[in-house]
Amino acid sequence: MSDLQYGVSIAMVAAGTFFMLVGSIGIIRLPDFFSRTHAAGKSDTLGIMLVLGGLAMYEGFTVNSAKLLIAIVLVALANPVGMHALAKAALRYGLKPWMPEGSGDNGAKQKGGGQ
Amino acid sequence: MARSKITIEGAGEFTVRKRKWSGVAVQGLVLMLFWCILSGRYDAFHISIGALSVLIVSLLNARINRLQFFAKDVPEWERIQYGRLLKYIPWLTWQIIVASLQVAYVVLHPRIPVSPLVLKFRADLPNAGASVVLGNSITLTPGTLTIEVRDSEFLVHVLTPASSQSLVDGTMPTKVAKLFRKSASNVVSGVHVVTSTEEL
Repeated sequence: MSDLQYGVSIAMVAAGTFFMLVGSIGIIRLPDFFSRTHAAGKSDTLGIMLVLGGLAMYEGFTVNSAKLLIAIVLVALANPVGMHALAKAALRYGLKPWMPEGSGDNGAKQKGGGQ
Repeated sequence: MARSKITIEGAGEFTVRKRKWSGVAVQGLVLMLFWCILSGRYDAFHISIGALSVLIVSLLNARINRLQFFAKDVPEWERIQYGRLLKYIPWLTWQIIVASLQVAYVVLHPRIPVSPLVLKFRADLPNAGASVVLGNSITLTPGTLTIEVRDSEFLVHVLTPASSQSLVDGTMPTKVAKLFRKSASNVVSGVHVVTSTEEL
């Protein structure tokens, strides 16, 4: 294995871990459900893609890296669908997005409770 | 036999399309490739088991794939232009990286500079497949999240107002429409910011 391949795979896995961490911090820090979904979905998508891509790079040109690439495609397709399903279900349930310049009563109604 | 109706208990009525054996064959080849990658063994025994499984799955799928599940779910989906898709995927990947960096900036900023808003717009897309591609692309790109798609009306949650730019000026929806049509002008219309929660 060449040093370049090794270095790139380490960099990709490290960057992926960073984005996963950011996603987790975002879930805690952001104000409401919908913005938390942003953090959970986007950062994690790139995080998982980078980690798996880095592992495929480490593995080299083998059957195992082909499997990892299939997993990347699956994640890229399934994650946004999952985020959309969550957001849609929340809205159907009656949860309203928090808006800072809204009518002022938004903050108190975060628990939702039907339309 | 070209277009008949079928009623499935508990699910409703569906249109049945004409069977296309070329589609079944392509699907079988893709499944066989998938089997070979996952199994990693290429002796006669494993290949023949794989071929048998692929045959059974293809025949079962050939029946399901004839059902038309949505009003706009026309075989036009097959007319996706693969050349443009090859250019679209790297562009989308770059957008995903930008999106994640932006979310990282917002999340790690001490004051969390977000001001979420909800955007409503119409996008005239040729078929259901295009709506799926656009919905997923919106979710993956900077600061935007598809909440709901009704017919051709999209409801999008936006994290920071600046990030909705490529939607409002129609860059991305037009790119998606071009995946399916020869040419497309701006397909976005009726952009509308939802300011009060009562509107939802």
